[in-house]
Amino acid sequence: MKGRTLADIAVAAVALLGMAVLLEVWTTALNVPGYLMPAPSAIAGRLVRDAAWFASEASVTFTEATAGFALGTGLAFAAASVMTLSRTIERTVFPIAILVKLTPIVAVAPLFTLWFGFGAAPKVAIAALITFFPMLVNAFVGLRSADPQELAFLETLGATRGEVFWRLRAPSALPYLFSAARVSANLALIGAVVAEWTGAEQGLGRVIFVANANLDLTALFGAVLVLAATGIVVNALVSALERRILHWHPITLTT
Amino acid sequence: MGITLSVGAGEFVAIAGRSGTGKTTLLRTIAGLVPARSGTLHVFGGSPIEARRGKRIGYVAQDPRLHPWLTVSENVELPLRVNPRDDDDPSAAREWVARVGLAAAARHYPHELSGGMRQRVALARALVTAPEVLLMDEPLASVDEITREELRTELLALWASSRCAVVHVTHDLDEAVLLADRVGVLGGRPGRIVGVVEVTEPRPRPSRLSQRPPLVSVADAVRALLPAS
Repeated sequence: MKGRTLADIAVAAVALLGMAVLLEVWTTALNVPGYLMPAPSAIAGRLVRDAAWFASEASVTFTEATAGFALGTGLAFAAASVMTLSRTIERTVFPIAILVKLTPIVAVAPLFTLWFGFGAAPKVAIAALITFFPMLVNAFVGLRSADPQELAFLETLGATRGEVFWRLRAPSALPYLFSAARVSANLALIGAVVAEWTGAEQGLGRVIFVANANLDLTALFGAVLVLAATGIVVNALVSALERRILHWHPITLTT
Repeated sequence: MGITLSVGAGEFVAIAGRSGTGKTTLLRTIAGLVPARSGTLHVFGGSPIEARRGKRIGYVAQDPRLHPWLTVSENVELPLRVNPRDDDDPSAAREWVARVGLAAAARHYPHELSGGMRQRVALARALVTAPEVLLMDEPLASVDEITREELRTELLALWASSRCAVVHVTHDLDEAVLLADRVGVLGGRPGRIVGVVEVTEPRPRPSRLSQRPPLVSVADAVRALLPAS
């Protein structure tokens, strides 16, 4: 298993390196201007020279995305819990949730910046908004997925609704929450970047926006690569957390 | 019509019948999980809900998943932690894990257990609260034949030491005769009690019918009561 993972990484690295070499040859041979497509070596040089700067901008975006993800997940779980209480509440909350889902984030982002300013707040809000819907749907299905025989067992013991919720329904929802998290965590990152485009003082989105305006393409490509790397880190964190928390879950065991 | 039956304290009653005669529904009604549509049902002189509140009912389902995120010992402790009573003693859990022969697997998770082991955990967690009546819904139907014979013997030993009343529903007539003091035969659709057979054979009973010929004739009597399908 471990050997296979290492082999996979090696193959991916070779493929990426091959692509970089092709780009390098192409940009040098045809003398492509740097403001259209910088040579990979120039991008790599920029990444090394400004490593500390890229890292600090990335940590701003990462923090905003993480805070938004946590906020969106918390709200979605709370909403899903309330929805399981009654059909009426379910019918009230779902249309609102679908409205939230159908609203394009790109359209709302400038509005949030107008309301909440250039600081972290609107980025966190957008990241939370983008996390909310997939989490809500999965939390709702997950809370209802509790095994009927186990529900019956707890009932015969005279368990209260609260005990049934925390001891059975909430843990039953965890695998569903994690499958939503695998999608939402990266969406939250994208949400934070989009929010930064509409006005920010810091962050990778801001770097991309300014670099684009200045035709500073080594900074732009550098930021995009750092963003991709941050996405990989986010994925790895979610997977690690999932393996730790869902060690009892058969599907986690086989992957 | 319907079902008229009383189960005495410490008595082992089996309800045998074909699939679809409402065996599970009968158990769920006794446990208060579904309301009785007509008639009256008393559990210790009161309603099933009152019996549940006092944790006087133990329940074993056909193929219990248990709580997959809890270890064997945590699963057995669970009934002591929900709806806690003053006399719920968490150390009873360890004792019951040992009694069903799972001390070595106490820290395992349900997905690491065989069907028979899971069923032993289900028995331990049903008995850990010292219930006065144990309701069992075909608890041996989903394990293999060899394990089933072992579990029958263990089940009788556990029952003998706990002295609770048992209502055990099953479609396995031989099993009903091997385990019970009385076998109620359920027939028709919806089911009604078509007859009750006393099993007077002394305990300990063998794990197979053929090992004691008098039991075979009791099983024949039970079979004779079953209406043709």
